[in-house]
Amino acid sequence: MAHWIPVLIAIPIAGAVLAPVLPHRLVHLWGLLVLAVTTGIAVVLTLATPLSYEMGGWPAPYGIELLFDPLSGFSVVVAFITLLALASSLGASGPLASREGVAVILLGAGGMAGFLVAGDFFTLFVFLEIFSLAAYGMVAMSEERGAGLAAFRYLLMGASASIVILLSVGLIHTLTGSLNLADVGARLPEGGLPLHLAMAGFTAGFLVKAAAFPLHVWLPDAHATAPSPVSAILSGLVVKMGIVGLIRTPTADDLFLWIGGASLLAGALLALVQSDAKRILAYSTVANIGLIVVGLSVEWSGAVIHMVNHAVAKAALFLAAGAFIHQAGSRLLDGVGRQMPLTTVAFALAAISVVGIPPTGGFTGKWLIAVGALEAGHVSLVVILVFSSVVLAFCYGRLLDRLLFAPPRAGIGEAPVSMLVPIVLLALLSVGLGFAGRPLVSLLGGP
Amino acid sequence: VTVLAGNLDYVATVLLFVIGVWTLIADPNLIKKVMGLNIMETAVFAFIVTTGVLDPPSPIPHALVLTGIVVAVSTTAVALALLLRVHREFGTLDVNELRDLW
Repeated sequence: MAHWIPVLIAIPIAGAVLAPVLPHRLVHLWGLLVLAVTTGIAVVLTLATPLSYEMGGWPAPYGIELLFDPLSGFSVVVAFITLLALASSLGASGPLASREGVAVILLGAGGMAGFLVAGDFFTLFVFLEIFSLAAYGMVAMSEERGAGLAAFRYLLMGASASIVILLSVGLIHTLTGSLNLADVGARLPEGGLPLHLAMAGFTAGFLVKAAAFPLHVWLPDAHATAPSPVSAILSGLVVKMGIVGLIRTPTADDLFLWIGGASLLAGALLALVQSDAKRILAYSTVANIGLIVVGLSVEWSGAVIHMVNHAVAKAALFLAAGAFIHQAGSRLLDGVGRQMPLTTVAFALAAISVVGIPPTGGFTGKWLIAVGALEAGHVSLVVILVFSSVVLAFCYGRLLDRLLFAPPRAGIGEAPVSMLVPIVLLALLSVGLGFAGRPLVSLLGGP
Repeated sequence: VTVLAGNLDYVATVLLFVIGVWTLIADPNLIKKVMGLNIMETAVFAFIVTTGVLDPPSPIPHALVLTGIVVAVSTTAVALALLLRVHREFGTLDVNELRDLW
């Protein structure tokens, strides 16, 4: 069974390498096929956790170890959301239907899968760079003016973060003489400057990748200018890899409460002053990442469950926003809602889930984290959590109000089926996951 | 002073890193920012290679740096490709001229 772990990484990456040489008409179907197979392998592996695989037969502390633990099960979400995002552009002529587009998206999925199963620090770094480079490329796929600059800013911050992470990996190796995650955990010294430096490096580096508040400045431009299916991948999946990094490495976790709280508050307030739909969604991601970072400190299972629920709901929201923009032909969405009832209902369901109204998926994680914060005695944090939820609910409500009750525009029809199916599926899933809270927690390794 | 003199190689990597960070933050030219990024990377590589200078020497840091260099080259290539597009769209690579967009 364990030998399927390297296959999980190899299939999307090999698919990405082959995509540029395939005939133009077939490349989109090729991408969907590769991602469907990847999703299948990820599901099979998740049901068989925990597993570990030694590359080339070299035993663990010295060889490269791949492990599939409950957290690696997030690779199911990665492959499935990437599949739906790619499917939503089926039949369209945009950049995602091109050979380069499919290649970059498959590379991103393979990189994230590798990152999730990496068992040592250096493999973690290599896959971090693979999906990061793919993500810069995905932003630049947009034909919008300024997308190149947004991608470049993302690259400058992302690459700086990667360098700091590499420095920390070097420090960890010097300190312990090992790179294996479990082995290093057992050998870490009690304290000292080098260890603190390494912990600070991992914390700062992965917080940039996750786009937590003071380090989020690259996110709004990158996520708002990228093509909408790419925004779904970036906001739903790529920023979550920063959180996975924070879980996997030794970090300064006493800072998480502060950074998470600040991110929660700032994300919600900054969303309030935006008028563009995709920018509101981008800042809502900053707020939700804050919630997850808080959760890492007070209630681990809440954080992980919110990672999954937010990924599903935010992907639905971005795909729906993309459908509105596609049908309206512009970023001005006033009054398009009534001509696109199905998309609007799906958008509203996913928004309810992100805001965290029971019984939807988003509520489960928020509730677990709020209870965890209360039990740890952080009442102010619960106040921030409730306040930012109310602010975000207002932002989404205002967006829906503009969609539905502005004077209707003529000549706009419902989104094509290829867009509608992924949106409705993800929206229903984001609500439905609320009823699967307990199995999801146990699947992801919680109590 | 003796501590600094005894670890001259580490002092050099820290200096190099600071130069890189400064170039990345302070220089208005986007290409020079990429160069600053490269200097930071070189500093980290030099640091990691230095940690392998033991008796007997440890080969692992060298292997790490080799992979790191490959990653750094790819990042630089993507960065320069993006700058080509920025230059085509805006006709400049100067942060002061890009103003609101930066």
